[in-house]
Amino acid sequence: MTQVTGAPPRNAKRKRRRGPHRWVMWQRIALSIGGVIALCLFFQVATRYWIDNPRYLPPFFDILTRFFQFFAEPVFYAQVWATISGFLIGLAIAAVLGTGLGILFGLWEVSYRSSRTVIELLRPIPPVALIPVFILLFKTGPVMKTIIVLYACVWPIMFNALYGVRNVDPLLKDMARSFGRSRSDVIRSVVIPAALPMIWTGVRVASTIALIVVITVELLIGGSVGVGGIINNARATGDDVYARFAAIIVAGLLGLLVNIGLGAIERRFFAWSTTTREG
Amino acid sequence: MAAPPLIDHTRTTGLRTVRRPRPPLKRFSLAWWLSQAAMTFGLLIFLLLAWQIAAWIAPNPQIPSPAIILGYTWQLFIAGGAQGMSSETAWFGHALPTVGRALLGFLLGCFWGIVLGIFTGLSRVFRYTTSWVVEFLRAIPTSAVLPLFIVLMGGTDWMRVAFISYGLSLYVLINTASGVASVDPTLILTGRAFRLSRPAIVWRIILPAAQPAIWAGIRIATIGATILAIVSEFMVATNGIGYQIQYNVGRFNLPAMWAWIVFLAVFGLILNFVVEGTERRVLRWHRNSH
Repeated sequence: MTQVTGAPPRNAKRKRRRGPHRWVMWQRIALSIGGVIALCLFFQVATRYWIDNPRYLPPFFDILTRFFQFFAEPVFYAQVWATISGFLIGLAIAAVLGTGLGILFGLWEVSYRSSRTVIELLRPIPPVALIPVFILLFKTGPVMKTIIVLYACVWPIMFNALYGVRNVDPLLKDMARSFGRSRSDVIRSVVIPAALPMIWTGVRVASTIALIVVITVELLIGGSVGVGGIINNARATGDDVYARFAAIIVAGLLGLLVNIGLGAIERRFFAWSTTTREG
Repeated sequence: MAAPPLIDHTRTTGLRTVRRPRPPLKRFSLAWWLSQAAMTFGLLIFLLLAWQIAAWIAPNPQIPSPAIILGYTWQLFIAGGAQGMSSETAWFGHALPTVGRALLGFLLGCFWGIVLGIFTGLSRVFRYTTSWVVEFLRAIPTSAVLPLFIVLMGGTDWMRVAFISYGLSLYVLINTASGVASVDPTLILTGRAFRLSRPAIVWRIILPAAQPAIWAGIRIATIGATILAIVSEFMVATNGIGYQIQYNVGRFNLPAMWAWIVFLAVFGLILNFVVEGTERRVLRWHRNSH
């Protein structure tokens, strides 16, 4: 154990560099950018000279140009918002519901054992297989999108909450009890905070699934709703092949945004936990 | 105030009143079996009954009763066929092609993911060069790339296999690369001190050490394979489970659609079981070492 009391050592004021040396960092960034440029060039050469069929697959740089043109169109923002809102609302409801169920199952064994058969039968049904069913039952609208995202996302969050609650150090619970806290108090101030990083990991897994489901729904319902709608239905608005492929880039950027956002929240709030650090 | 119970199940400690737990049922007695069965199947049976009764009281053509669905499933897959589709067609014309494509895509995707992942994990330059590209490709929801595959390869079986394997290989690649890159350097140095050749180090030290991470990727891939196989059959398909679901929705033949979903549920259940068993067996040494 190092001594932590007393005056700080003299060089404590010197800024400690975190992470690798600056030169290594620049090298890393240069290589990453190089990789991206190489991929773009490869796509360009492949689409321009190898496939060379602009009616079906236009050259990559033209697709990129179309991608930048998106930002001048007001319709585009509405479509992106349709995707994002469906994603966020479904994920939020799934997070609340999954966490609630997971905590209930984790704390009360009987409830888990009696629901287990139903869960094990429902869970393996791939959510995308249910999309046609949900379209039929709930019509094509935001409600249907929300419900299907909810169905897809509730499982990973629920199971992570369940394992998170079960893995809470029993010593912590006993200590809070021995300080005279009531059971609900222990749950509120010990169990849930200790399980939160695990639950958050579940939310992160679910967010990837949610985005896939939202875009697949939009691809299937065949209106021009959302990013998937642009990919699917460009033909209706004057055979805009460029928009079709540019929308794939938009979908990738959305996914990147979600990853970065969730990762930032994790670093900000759950940096203390070891469960979130791996993977 | 109610009268106090004859048998007092509570006792008073200094702090508070604690309810004394009821003594557990004797194992393997009749009451024990009944309680186990009620616990395991009670909710399922209750929900099915509620659904069945609701279907009697307020029949809704969009949600047939469980009896109709299960009967149709039985007819379609086991008892020879239903509504013009024989059981042979259901199995060999639709179910098995989906499973076959999913399996082929799974194998190819795992192969490419592991091979590329090992290279990515071993070479730092390669890792940095591909990091942003892989990060971006992974962020694209796989279903969004399906139209690209259709344009490139047409509505063929190979297109579907390529699509499935592309989607899965990214997950396997990322897991393999991070597993390989985080192998304890002491292990590798030990191997070098024993004058193992580089391939031998990769094969006998790095790969076994990275196995848990690789298996995590493969596990995601098994679930993903079914999902992607079905997604790929929603567009320009002529057979497969995904095609059947969409086709029957389009014809409002809803018992058939639900029958295929029941089939998927059972299939997923078996798949989960197999994967978990394999993983437990393969990684037994790893768990024991902790």
